[in-house]
Amino acid sequence: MADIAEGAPGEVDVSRRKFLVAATAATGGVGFVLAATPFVKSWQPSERARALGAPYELDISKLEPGQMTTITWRKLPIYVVRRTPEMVAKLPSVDPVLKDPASSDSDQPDYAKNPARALNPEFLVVIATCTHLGCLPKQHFTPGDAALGADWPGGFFCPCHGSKFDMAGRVFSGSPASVNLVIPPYSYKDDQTLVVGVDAAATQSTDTGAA
Amino acid sequence: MAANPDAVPGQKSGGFWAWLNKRMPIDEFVESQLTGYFAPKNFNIWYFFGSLALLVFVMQIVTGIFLTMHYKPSEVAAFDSVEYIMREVEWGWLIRYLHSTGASFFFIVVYLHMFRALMYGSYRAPRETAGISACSSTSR
Repeated sequence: MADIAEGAPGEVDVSRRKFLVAATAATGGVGFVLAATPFVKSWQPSERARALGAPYELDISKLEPGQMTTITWRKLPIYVVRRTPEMVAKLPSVDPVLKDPASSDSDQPDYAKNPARALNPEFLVVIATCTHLGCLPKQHFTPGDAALGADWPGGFFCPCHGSKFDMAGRVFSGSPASVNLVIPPYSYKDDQTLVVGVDAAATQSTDTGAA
Repeated sequence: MAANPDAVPGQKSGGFWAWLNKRMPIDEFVESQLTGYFAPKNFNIWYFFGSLALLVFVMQIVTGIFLTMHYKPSEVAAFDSVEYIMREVEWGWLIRYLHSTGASFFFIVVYLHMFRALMYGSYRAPRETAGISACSSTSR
């Protein structure tokens, strides 16, 4: 469409044109960002998905020494074991028959990368799927368990393919599983509340939005 | 500008863009089809609906793609997935309503566009091909 220019005919007002192009681009850019916002936000995890991944709180004061309970966090079975002092004291003596006694090749948070593989040696918190093919290892906490021989120090035995783990979820040499049981992120809210899904180092601010 | 007769105002006359334009004349195409395309001065509001139809069409495609990210097209899961879109997906209600309202508006806008084309004879020479392609694409 012909422009009614104020200058001479055929002369292009470049600064006016530049301003109009910039103003159009800026307005269009703002509009594009506004229009794109709902679409990008629709990719965010929904409240229902957040609730499914929410941290799990467990009252551990009800666990007796030597007792184990199973909880479900993010559809994963989690074993929580209150170990007796004897169980904890025995852990170093099992080291020679383990594949990865120092847990250097295994998966656990840094604060659980210690001989007891726990924040508090009394409580073992471990993802209850065998690192071989995902079966649930059974508890065989009694040393010298009849099914596992006189030299069995106590731990977990996977009935699917015979993987053995000690009282810290560390895998025995000769087991089909190659690494120790996985330790999930967890922390203690207070003396008797265990929180699975919130890292101990970052209790105040977490990625899961604990609320 | 005066030095190079082939230069286009506001555009660089050398470098990669010029090299590309010599082989694939983008600038020339944009000018002949859009920026330098002669349009009658008597265009009125009836002529808006063609580009509006294009806008709604693009919107239908974009919202449709985003809806398929959450919709489950099975007789068992469809209702629940729509409920999920409306209640759980952030802004899912807006995307679904844009899509459903857009479907209605596409008809409105296309009918107005067709009415304009018939009233003003937009299918006549030299635009017979535009008329034929419009009729064949909407009659399916």
